[in-house]
Amino acid sequence: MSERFVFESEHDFLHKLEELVKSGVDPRHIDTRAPHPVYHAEEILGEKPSIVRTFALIGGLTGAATGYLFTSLTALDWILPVGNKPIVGIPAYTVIAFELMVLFGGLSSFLGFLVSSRMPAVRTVISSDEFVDNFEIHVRKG
Amino acid sequence: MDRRDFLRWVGVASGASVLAGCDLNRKSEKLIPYLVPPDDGTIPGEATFLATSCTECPANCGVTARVRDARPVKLEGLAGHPVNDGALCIRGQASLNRLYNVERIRGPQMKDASGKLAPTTWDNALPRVASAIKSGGDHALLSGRTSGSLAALMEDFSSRTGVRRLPEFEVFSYAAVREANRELFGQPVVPVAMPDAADVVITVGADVLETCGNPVAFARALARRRDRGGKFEWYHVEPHASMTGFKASQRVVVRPGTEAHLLAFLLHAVAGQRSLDSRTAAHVNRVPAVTADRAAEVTGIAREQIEHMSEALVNASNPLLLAGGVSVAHDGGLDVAHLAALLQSACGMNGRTLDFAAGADYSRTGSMADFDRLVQRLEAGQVGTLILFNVDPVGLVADDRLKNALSRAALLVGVGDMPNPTLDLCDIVLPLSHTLESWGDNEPAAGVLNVVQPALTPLFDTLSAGDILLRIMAEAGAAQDVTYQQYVADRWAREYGTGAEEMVKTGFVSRKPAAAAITLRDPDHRFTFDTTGGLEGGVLVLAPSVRWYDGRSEGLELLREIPDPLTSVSWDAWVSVGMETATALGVADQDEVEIRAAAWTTRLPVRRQPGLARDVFVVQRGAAAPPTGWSRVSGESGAYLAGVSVTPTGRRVRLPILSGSLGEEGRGIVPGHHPEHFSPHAEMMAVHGGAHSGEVTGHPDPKDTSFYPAPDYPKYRWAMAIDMEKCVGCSACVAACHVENNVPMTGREEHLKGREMSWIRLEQYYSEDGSQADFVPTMCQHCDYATCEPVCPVYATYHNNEGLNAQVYNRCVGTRYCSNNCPYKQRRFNWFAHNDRPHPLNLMVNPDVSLRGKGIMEKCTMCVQRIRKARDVAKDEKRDIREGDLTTACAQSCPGNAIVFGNLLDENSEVHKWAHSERSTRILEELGTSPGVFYLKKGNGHDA
Amino acid sequence: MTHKTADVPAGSAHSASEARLQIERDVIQGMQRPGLSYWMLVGFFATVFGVCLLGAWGWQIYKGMGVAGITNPTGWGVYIVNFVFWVGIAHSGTLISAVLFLFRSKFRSSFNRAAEAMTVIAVMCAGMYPLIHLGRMWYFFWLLPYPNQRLLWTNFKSPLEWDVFAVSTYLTISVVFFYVGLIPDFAIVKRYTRGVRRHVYSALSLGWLGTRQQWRNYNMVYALLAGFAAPLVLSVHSVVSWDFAMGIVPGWHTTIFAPYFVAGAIFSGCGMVLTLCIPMRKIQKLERVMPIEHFEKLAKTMLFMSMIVGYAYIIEFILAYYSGNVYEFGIFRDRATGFYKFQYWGMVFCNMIVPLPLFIKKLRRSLAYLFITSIFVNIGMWLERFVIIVTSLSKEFDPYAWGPYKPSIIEISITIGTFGFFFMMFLLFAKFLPVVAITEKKEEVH
Repeated sequence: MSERFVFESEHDFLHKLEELVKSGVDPRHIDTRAPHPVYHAEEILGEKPSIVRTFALIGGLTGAATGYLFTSLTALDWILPVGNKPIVGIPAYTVIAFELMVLFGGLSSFLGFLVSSRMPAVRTVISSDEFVDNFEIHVRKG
Repeated sequence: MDRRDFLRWVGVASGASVLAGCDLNRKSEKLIPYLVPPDDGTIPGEATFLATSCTECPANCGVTARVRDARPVKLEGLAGHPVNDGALCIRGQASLNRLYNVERIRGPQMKDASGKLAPTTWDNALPRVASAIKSGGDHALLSGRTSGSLAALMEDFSSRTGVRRLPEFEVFSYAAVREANRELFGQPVVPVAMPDAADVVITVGADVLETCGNPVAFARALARRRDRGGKFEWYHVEPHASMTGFKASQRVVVRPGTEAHLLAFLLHAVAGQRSLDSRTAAHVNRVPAVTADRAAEVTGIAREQIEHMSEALVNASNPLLLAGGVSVAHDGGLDVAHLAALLQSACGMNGRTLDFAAGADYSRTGSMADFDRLVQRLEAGQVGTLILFNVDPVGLVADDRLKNALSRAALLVGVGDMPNPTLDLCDIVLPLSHTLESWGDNEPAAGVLNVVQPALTPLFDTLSAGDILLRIMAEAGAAQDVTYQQYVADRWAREYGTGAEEMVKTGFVSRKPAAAAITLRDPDHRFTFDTTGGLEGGVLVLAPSVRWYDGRSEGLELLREIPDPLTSVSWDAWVSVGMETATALGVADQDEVEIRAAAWTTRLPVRRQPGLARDVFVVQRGAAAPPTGWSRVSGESGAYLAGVSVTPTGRRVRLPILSGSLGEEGRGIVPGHHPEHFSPHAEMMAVHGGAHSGEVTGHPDPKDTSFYPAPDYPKYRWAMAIDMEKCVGCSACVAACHVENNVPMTGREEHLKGREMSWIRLEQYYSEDGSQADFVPTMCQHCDYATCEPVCPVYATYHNNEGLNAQVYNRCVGTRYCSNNCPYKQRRFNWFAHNDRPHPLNLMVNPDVSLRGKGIMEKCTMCVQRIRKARDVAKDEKRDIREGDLTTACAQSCPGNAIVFGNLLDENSEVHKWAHSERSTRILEELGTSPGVFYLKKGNGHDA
Repeated sequence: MTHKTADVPAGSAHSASEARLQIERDVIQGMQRPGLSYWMLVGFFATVFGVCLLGAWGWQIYKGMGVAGITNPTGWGVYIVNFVFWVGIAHSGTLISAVLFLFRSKFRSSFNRAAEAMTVIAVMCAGMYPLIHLGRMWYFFWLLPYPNQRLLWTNFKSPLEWDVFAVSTYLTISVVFFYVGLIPDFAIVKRYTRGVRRHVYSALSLGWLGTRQQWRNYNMVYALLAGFAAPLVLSVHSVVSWDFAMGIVPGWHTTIFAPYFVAGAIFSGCGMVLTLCIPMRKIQKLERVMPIEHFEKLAKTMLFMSMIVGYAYIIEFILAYYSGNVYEFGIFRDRATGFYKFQYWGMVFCNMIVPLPLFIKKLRRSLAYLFITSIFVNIGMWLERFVIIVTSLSKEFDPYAWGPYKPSIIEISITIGTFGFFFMMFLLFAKFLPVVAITEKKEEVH
């Protein structure tokens, strides 16, 4: 069994949410829907930071490491001197490392977002469920 | 639109890139491996060398033809040859382009009913010629200068068929010099100059580095002279501006037609200082006295300069004075030649710096007077059949009478290899084989015989010069049917006692001629010269061309592709206008002017020429030649048109000028010059990295100019050094490089956009006042810290461990970043598929060097194919490459011995010595690129 | 069990809800079935793209690079000018979006969607040029480091290789950023559409419902992407500037290039945003969601950038003079007085002089004036790249190798063709995607 509250106003929605949390409802049993991000709601519910952060960190570090390793190892694989510069040119490779950090970091953040949000949600896509312009609170009864 | 075109278009529409990638497949032909080598002894991939001779001009240098897979791919001077000793000029290098010329006449032609030349067969053409010369009438044969067996055969031909042999036709006939020597010494010869023995050289109009005499031999002698060291002064007197003038230590600009005054002054100056024998004194006394002031006034030369010259001449222990070229090519030219010959005699040059015995045989060569007699006889209808044997008077002599006169001949038979205005008039055209397809010989100098042997079977239905004559004779029943090959072999056996087999191995026979006994004859007439002085008004000078000689080589696209060394103009004709005159006329480069003389007018685009006197205009010999007539006194063809008016037409004509600037613009490109950094901070820069080129002894240490340590080359560092004193600016290196490296010829339209492809170029920089010019041959500098390399995203260019800046054509995707980043601008991009060569030009390909397709960057490789070959040979012999194993095409061809190539790490190598000389410097050294091409700057006492 | 709440004063809640719905309607009304004139316009730009760009490019591939006007010594011409120009345009998209997001700037919400779309399209335009300018474009993939039979990798020291990474990263991240921002809006559009379109938008929304989990992760990923994108913007145009600054060419080889190029990119991007948004606001009737104050703020940004760019123009000259270096100062003197002086002074006029009147508030608030200024800025920034690239190459160290460059008809045609592509894509965007970020606009409603 669950309980569902629908609001038109963000203020009412937050008010109710606060009330529910204060009344002892486990925030893990509360689900909400909103037409736009409501940062205050996250505070009320005591959200832990999203796991997407970790994806971004791992992706970014992997990208940077790949950038340095890939460039250096390929340069050492077949030594072709150019302009008498060092074979492994770290300053030059930093550019590549930076770009790959951003690329890997950005893509893995996106992947993290999809995974943690369980998207694409095929059932919702094909259902008539819609993203409406109301604030809603669902309380699952444990 | 045919099927192929249709498919091509479908390809473009559906995926143009795919099509472009498959471009090569479309053109490929069946490849048949040489499992069984061909019968003619050709070894696939192995070059053979044949000694033969160059016939691009009458100098007849000895050459080696490199033959690959049964066709010659490169000509090089024959090492040890008494005339050119291994060097070859720009025209000689380009001679292959005559052999493989698209324009070549591919078979006999005869005029059809409509009066147009149509293809025919030898069997049709020859009997007609034979019957024509057998029929009544006065038949004649006109040829260019011949020597050796061909001259002898022509005598035979003449005596057996009754065809009169006319004096040979040459525009540069040395008629004035020969006539002066006849008058004074009774010997109408052209002496050979020996500048290597001289300490003071005065050349009066004689363009010794362009066409006069043998420029290759002269440049070689100059190089020997410079190697010897010591004081050496060279004055060049000229009315116009020539490369010879700018390469002399002092260029003396004389008012056109007034050289005689200068020489008369010098003669009297010498007479006043030296004790002369009575006969010479008698001659001198007959020459009107000219004071220095008068000479300065008439000639327009500064008095100090005249006195300087006379002092140098008087004090010289071994002076050399030569007159020729444009200075003897006017009515007063004989006086100039006469005075020069007197000076030679008075200074005792004969036998010391001049050799009267070694000159080429000009006894059969006529003058323009002889030619004029022919024209008169033609006009009078007195000539029956006229055989024009490999001469192009219509093209080389601007004379309206000539065309009409020729049409009066009963039958005109032309012999030639490429269409020209003369052949266009002929009734029968007999196609001539190239020298490289022929047997024969020639005599470039007295006592020297060059062998001419075929390097390939004729490409087309052509016959060699001798065979044409023999076939006509046979057809006319005038001789036994022999081939010319037999004819020359018999003659060699007779005259030299050696068989053909022996002769073809050495390539030449040299017998030192006995020293000439030159004695002055008694003066037989009072010598006078026009004392009023000079040509009036605007003067148009018709100058010889270093590229086209008298105009005969103009048809060779390679020679049009290579820019004129003085002006950097390629392809088109132009008129050179002095800087002052240009300002006065209000014209700039490419502005069209109308040049008007009494009965002649033409329009030409302007190219400004620093150092050219006011109101003097220069046009080079070639298609646009003005009617300069000839001297009635000497028979020398004229080089002047006086009283011309030049007016701008207001139009702009696109003229391919390859140089972006006449001067250095403060950039200090010329070795020994410095960039003109303008603030006090320049000194600061010299301390902190990037020292000024040349201001330091030796070269900046890489540790001062780079973050990175100096490169470590294990065994070789291929490098080049170029001596700016020895370089004569002749552009032979450019032609050699084109042929050796399959550098494409892009044509006029591309040159107009500045898209030349040459891997080596001659940059000319004039001083502000135009009195000095420097010619800097530049190519890829193969820098240690090459700026082109790190910017290539695909490693298409990198540095190999022998110091070469390698270019990997197949890897190149064509970003052109390397070219942008090359401070020397030595990289060349294939804007189109330039190497889609039409037949037979597609045979003029060196198989050792790959052809570059469109969209690829290329540049000088320091002839890496030759390095590869040398490495293979060295490896077979289990040793390293040694000094002398190889040299690059440019260095090999250089007449001035100005380029050396070798291993910089070998301390005994020539290049090591040059690179560590006191004069050694590098271009744009302050950039810290550390180039592998060293330049020895001018000036350590050689040049005044 | 559903509770309808009515226990709070109805007025404010109702009006907030109404305001939010009004935003939805305002934005989505622009997406209604396009008319014939729209399709004709799209068709026109598609034709310009097809004929002028693809046709001319095909001809160039068939004949060779020589059909372009580039030559020795000017190996880079209009193609690279266009590349830098479009990369520059692409910049303010991400700048407005990401950087202003990080600064929590309010005026961002009016432009961020259009700017991001512009970024993606402009990067596509820019991305075409390195291919167009390759001598052997059929081997373009050799620029990518992939394991191949030759066992040869690419040269990561080459600024062009940096370009490959920077531009492709930029395109990828811009697309992801653009798409992430669109996800909630797709879900809204789904609500307003029927039939096939509804399914398409539904699929694109990936099942977005605005749940607590989704918003939480969404906020995080959006902030992270903005965080990645902001330095990326700076890096990409810095890398583009290093294509030049890493060269030894006088006029290129200076350390100020990276900031100078970034400022120029933002400047040109602001110009292009104005050029696109002013007519779009009018045509799509977006006056309510794109208030004039936001335009004013954009104009201020542009003015500021104009002054940075103007400073760079002046300081370059001073540095060149101060260096006392004949090559360096030769180039700058030649820019102002040589063959390309009209381009140079045109650049100074468009980029330094024309934006100055924006100090007047009235002019900043005049859309007509802003539109005209933005056109000048677009032209001026194109000229700036032309001046930098072409003048330096045409007069380098060696005077023998100097030579002017004039664009050929093929280059001009391809340049026009990209504009065809750009406007075609932008029109498609304006009709098929919400041109203003609806959820963000809603966030501003209280």
